[in-house]
Amino acid sequence: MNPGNPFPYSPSARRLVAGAGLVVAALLFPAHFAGAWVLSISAGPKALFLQVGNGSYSGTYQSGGTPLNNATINTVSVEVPASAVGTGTAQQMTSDSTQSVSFYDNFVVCNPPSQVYIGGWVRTPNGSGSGTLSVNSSSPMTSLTTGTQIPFTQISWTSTANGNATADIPAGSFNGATQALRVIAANTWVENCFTFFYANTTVVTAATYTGQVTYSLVLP
Amino acid sequence: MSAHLLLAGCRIVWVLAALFAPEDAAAATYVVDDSGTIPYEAQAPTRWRTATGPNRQMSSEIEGAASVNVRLNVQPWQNRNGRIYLALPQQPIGVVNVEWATQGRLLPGKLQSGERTLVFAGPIRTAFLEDNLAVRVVADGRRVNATQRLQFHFEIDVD
Repeated sequence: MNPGNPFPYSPSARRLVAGAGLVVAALLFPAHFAGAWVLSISAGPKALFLQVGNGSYSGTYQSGGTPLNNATINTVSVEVPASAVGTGTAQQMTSDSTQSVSFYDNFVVCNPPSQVYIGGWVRTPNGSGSGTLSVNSSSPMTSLTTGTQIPFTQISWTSTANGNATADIPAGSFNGATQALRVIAANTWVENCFTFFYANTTVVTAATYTGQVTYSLVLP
Repeated sequence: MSAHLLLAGCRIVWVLAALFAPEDAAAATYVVDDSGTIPYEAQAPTRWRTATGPNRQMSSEIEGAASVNVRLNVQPWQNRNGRIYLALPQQPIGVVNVEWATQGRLLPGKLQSGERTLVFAGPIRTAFLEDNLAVRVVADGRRVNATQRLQFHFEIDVD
């Protein structure tokens, strides 16, 4: 026995005591003892919203609203007087859109029917990244009676908004294919009001020409 | 040898009892056994908050909510005065704001990660304290890439 050892028993006895100590501790802290309940939160959900013309929202974003589906396809049109056909004088178009307010905060941003609302946003799980707003105009406007066509390259637009003269989505012209209009960063509501113009640079057969462009917002 | 062993064993038990038996301790802070809480691991689905900002910014904060039936085993401090706190350690995802409502047995309140907030003060007359907490958590969604486990705990200061 080592006289300097405060525990006057053999190493094997010490191991036994240590074992007994563990048993006592287990009795004082039963197996189910715990002191940390857990609340798990997930990353923010991935989402996007795109509105062209009339749209729907449950209230406004500002009031906690969320996007709703709206299948409306608005029409933009112009009737060119016979005397003006092909003169190169651009013809302002009008629409059947009634969307004047932004669902961000109900502010009147557009003046329909001459202006068509276009806006959207994206959300990503970590709030970074972006979506791409584009438009496809590959199918030309066609007359159902004559079969003649007018390419969408004859259509251009200006872009503005009440309270925000700087265009978030730039003015431009359709290119007859798919073209990117704007990269929309996560957590930013982007919106503008488009006014469309028919270039009227060629003489076409008198008829009604119709076509459809499709706007897309893609979030990888 | 057997007498020595018995003596040594008693000393160990006494030391352990002094360390772990709070009713024998002076004023101190202890973690409260909340293992009766249901659900013990709650899921709080998140959504993006709706605060507005300049240039039509959208909030980068996410919030989640859950209902938790808290059951605290306070039997070790029964018939003593105590102050019980809800605590959340600092988190790797930055500041987490927590707010909760109660049914009245515990106090409603709020805290930021790294803090603790009082939920009970006074004499402890029962072995268990129970309440239903409606918990709402707000975090910076830009820093939450995946599911985060927020480990709360209750702690008690006894006189």
